[in-house]
Amino acid sequence: MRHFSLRTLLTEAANAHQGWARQWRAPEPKPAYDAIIVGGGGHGLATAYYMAQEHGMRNIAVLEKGWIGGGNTGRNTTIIRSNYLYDESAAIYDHAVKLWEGLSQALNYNVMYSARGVLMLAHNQHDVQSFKRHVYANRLNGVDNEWLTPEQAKAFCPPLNISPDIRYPVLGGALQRRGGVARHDAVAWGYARGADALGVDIIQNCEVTGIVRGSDGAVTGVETTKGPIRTPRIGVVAAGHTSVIMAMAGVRMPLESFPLQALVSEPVKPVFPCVLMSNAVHAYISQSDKGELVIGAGTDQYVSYSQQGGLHITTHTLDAICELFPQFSRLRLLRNWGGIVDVTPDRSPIIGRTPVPGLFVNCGWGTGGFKATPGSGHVFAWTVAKGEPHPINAPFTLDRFRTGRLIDEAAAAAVAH
Amino acid sequence: MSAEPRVVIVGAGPAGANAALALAAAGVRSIVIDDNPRAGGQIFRVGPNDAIGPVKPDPRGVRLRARLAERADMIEHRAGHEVIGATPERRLTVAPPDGPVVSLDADALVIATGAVEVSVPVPGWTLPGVFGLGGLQILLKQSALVPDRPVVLGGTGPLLYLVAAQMVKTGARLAAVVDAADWPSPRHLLGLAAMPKLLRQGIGHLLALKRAGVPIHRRAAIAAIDGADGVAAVRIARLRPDWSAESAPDATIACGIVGVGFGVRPNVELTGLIGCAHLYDPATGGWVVRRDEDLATSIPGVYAIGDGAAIGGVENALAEGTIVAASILRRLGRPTPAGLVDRATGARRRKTRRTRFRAAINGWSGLRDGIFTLAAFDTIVCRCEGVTRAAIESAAASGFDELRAAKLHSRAGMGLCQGRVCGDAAARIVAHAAGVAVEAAGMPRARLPLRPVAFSNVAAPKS
Ligand SMILES: Cc1cc2nc3c(=O)[nH]c(=O)nc-3n(C[C@H](O)[C@H](O)[C@H](O)COP(=O)(O)OP(=O)(O)OC[C@H]3O[C@@H](n4cnc5c(N)ncnc54)[C@H](O)[C@@H]3O)c2cc1C
Ligand SMILES: Cc1cc2nc3c(=O)[nH]c(=O)nc-3n(C[C@H](O)[C@H](O)[C@H](O)COP(=O)(O)OP(=O)(O)OC[C@H]3O[C@@H](n4cnc5c(N)ncnc54)[C@H](O)[C@@H]3O)c2cc1C
Repeated sequence: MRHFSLRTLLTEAANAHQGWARQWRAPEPKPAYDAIIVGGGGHGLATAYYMAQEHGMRNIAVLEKGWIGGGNTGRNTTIIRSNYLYDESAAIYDHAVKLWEGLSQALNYNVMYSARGVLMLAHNQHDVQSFKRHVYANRLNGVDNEWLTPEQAKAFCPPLNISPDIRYPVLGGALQRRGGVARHDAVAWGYARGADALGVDIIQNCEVTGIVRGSDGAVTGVETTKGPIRTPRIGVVAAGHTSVIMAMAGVRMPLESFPLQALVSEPVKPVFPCVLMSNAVHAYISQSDKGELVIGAGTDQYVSYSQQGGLHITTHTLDAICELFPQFSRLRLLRNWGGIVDVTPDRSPIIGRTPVPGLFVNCGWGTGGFKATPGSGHVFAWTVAKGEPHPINAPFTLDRFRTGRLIDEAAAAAVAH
Repeated sequence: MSAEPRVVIVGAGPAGANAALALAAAGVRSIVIDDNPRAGGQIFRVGPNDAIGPVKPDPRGVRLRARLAERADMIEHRAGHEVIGATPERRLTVAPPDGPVVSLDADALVIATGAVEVSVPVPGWTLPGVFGLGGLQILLKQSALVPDRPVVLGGTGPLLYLVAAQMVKTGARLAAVVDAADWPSPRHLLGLAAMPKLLRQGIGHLLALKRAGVPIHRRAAIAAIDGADGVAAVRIARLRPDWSAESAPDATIACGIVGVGFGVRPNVELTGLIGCAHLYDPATGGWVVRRDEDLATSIPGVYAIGDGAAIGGVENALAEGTIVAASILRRLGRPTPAGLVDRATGARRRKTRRTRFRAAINGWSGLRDGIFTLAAFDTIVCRCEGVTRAAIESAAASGFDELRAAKLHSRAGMGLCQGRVCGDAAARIVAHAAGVAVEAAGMPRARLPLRPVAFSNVAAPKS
């Protein structure tokens, strides 16, 4: 792997950028691997990277039906934070935030992590009480989170309209200063480059169409559009399509798949200093380095695999945006898209073993899994490599929906970007 | 669904307008949505009224508008409205001139969105004063603007000579015409004779240029445009048979305005957004809509006609308007008037002649991929995002060999125009760098909204 540095940049600039080589190979699948990861999103690629890096598993492959990062990884609004309510959630999301902080250095690839602060607005008494409870719970867990009055919120985010007579007045907000955003594609590419350098085969345009099991029920391989591949271990990390793949092994998942939408405005000069979330009205906003306002909306109310959500959802979000930021109402909407998110009943992920020996799953991140990418990959790599969960993901079992030991993060809103 | 079926036609050019008129004659109402202030589409484009302007309005267009006005009882023409989204369930999202967007459900949807120009980046093409040929023509026809300084026109195909002749006629100073193609061969001329009227018109344009003493350079292209803060001159290079430059540009021609056009391709944004099947056919413009005999697309109830489906020219656009009306009547279970049946049959029969003509045009002046190598490594290809040819090539070479992936990596096509201008060039550059055919790099996909729209017009209206 070519090491990137200021020198490489200057050399390439002087060379009219003609010398950049492919950053990962495009291998054909081998007949067999020690393990296979299904899904080349950020989570799948991170899993493969840490399996090779920390567990010495080099004879492994990532199978991706399209191109890497083309799923939710490349479609999300990249909000990163860890101020979740329960101990289990705070532990896994904060594990991820700590990894984000050193990720560009660790991967030698700029993932553009920018800790510009995430402010969650409270619009009603329920929000106020719930967010304050989050603040206290987070402090006990050593996770930063602070309560701001409307005036303090305005000082932190000057474009915000805190007038008391709007439909959704701002009653305050919870601010996590370590929260922020990162470049979504770069996360996939950085992990892919790192994994490839360690010998991992990243195979694009390779859709898994079946899971093969032996007479004892354990997995023995996968069927793909590039032919059958043998393997004793499979890690499924396929976001919105997880249920479909798990059904190939006869496992029913407690997941519902919904379209979730996002949009960007035309690019403008820097006007927005932080990340702002308004869960009550489903509006999430930050500004990209290119100057576009990046805005997240809510999910459709009904399940579907359509990557195009309903227009009324966008309408509702822009309604809220125009009210919270009247000065943005003449900005023009440039692009609107959707991704399919996998939602669990308690809005927490499932990471661990399954009833099928050799089959592992990492899913249920729903509307908010980008922020967890490094942490999720890190603990899932451990799980697949050792055959048992890492202490951090031990509570996130599939079994909890049978035992009732839920980790209920659905508190403030059905959406938790 | 209302009791009366709702037919929506997008595009009020010859194709869409003719479809609406034929339906009206058979007693079926339709809504025609078009983003221009007046009907007529590209070829019958006019200014705010017929009296002004240096180009006399085409009488066929004048007639078309009069007939539409006569049938205002059956045809609701929503002028100045943009269709910015559509779903396979035939739900359109429409942006009025300035006001909140609305949804519109159609029982039958006809897409007649016409053609768009193919842009070819060369060094200097982003200087003020450089236009598409069609753009210059629009300024002439719709805004009555005649260039006030010397003009050089380049590119290829019939539009090049048409615009050149219009320039001469309206008194613009035309310094040169630079055609990438050679003279049409005898075989091509034979094919062009399939449409004698059009061939005669073409010869007329050539004679007009001759009389005005305009030099015509053949097998050559404007390979670079020079100037500090506007066009000052162009440099001409001779072309090889694949239309790459034979040598560095030599001849220099001073001018203040440049018009370039390398033909047109179907505007398949809307059919792409809906998810209609497309196929790659260089002879009719590249990515074209897959249609059956009835001009129906792969999505039930969605039809595509005219240049927006596959390039066929104005005669073909008019004919397909008639044919689609008969198809829709069948779909709605309405009787087809005898006159319409005859006209639809006639329109189908004349198709062979049109196809022969098209093939000859294409053989003579069809786009050849070498032209896209005129851009230098540091030439900006995507002007919205300022992405150079080198940046797109390095994305393709580092493994992003699909257009969509290369786009995400380089950001080419992600700006204000959403790739409408640079898409053709970007696809060729990606394919070339990745060593695959253009069609293998994938069709560029449009997203909602097809045109930028103000937040406040998408937000729910306040009571
Ligand atoms: C609009 C939107 C906004 C969001 N905003 C945020 C946010 O602000 N913050 C946040 O933290 N999270 C956000 N999320 C959620 C976040 O994007 C996801 O939780 C996260 O990216 C999931 O990562 P992944 O790698 O598991 O999934 P993906 O990136 O979707 O990867 C799964 C991959 O599996 C592949 N696959 C599927 N089926 C098969 C098969 N049969 N064979 C082979 N491969 C297959 C897919 O092609 C895909 O590439 C948002 C999501 C959306 C859609
Ligand atoms: C720039 C240019 C110049 C041309 N000049 C000539 C010429 O001078 N002579 C000649 O013979 N041929 C010319 N042609 C070819 C000619 O346009 C076609 O042969 C003929 O006009 C095709 O008719 P049509 O009805 O298919 O499309 P068009 O006439 O192009 O009509 C399509 C209409 O749909 C509208 N539209 C497209 N998308 C949307 C949307 N999303 N929402 C709302 N409205 C929409 C367009 O604005 C347009 O008014 C030209 C083509 C181009 C691209």
